[in-house]
Amino acid sequence: MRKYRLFFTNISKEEAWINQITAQGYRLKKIAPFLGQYTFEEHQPIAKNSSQEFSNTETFFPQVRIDFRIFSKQETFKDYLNLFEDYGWCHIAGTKSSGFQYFEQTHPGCDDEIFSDPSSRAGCYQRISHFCLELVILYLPLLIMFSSSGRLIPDFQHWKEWYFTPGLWEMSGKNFWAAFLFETPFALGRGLSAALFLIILICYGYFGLKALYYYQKEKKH
Amino acid sequence: MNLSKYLPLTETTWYILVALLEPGHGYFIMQKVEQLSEGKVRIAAGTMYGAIENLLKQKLIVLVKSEDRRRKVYQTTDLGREVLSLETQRLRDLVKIAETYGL
Repeated sequence: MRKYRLFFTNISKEEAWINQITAQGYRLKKIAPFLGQYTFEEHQPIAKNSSQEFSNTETFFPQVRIDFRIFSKQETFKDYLNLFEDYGWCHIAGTKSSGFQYFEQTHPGCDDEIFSDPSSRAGCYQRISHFCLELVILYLPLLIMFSSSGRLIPDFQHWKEWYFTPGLWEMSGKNFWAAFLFETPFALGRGLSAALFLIILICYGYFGLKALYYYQKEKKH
Repeated sequence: MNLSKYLPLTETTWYILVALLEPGHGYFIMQKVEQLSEGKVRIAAGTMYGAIENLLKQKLIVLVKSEDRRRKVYQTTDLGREVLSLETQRLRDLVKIAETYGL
């Protein structure tokens, strides 16, 4: 079954939400984070012969935990995953540069948390915050360039100027509509992309600051 | 060299440096620390990864060669051992004072 929910930087809320669903007998199978889409499937109890030492396998609902880490090399990413695997965490979603890494307990005997002290839990939020704010700083020069060219705030009054097709406004009937509709995506790109860019940067700035707030909060625990 | 910048060590860091006086990989460190602390200190995966990264950066531990192709193996450096001694002495001093107060 598919569920939709958007979490941006609040990892503990996201974990709680996922685990509240898995407690009802589902397992998280796939995630499409930008769509806020979580795919769950009915929980298949671990076959008795694969973990004989645990008697309660039918009632074991694996906890899901989330870390945030970005890796520059595939090799260091593999080492990270191997460490978690040794602890009994199965990696269910995330790539070397996606940031958010989702893990699932493989058996009830292993840890059910990935952080054992408040400062490392806080450190996770700090990494999210740094990632967002670095992105904003990186793209700031581009934003300044856009704003100095005067195209940052869309000039809705002169929207017709977004269309470059020569003689478009002199056409009529089917010819006009064909040319108009064809060029519309490009025109929207020309007129709105700078503003969209600004909105995206503002969002990242907001998330970066929110994550920084969570970091300060966790540190104080 | 002034090593006071490394002190005080957090409990987690102290335990890891002690555990790595002999070479070991991440999960091995966790098991050793749990054994040394008689079950009181159990370092989780995310915490362990971060702690190892920090210790490597500070050059208190170093990557060593091993036959284990799947896992990275670390060991406490001479600097790490020195910092550990300083910290342990600091703790001894505190304990001595505490004992005079009957704590």
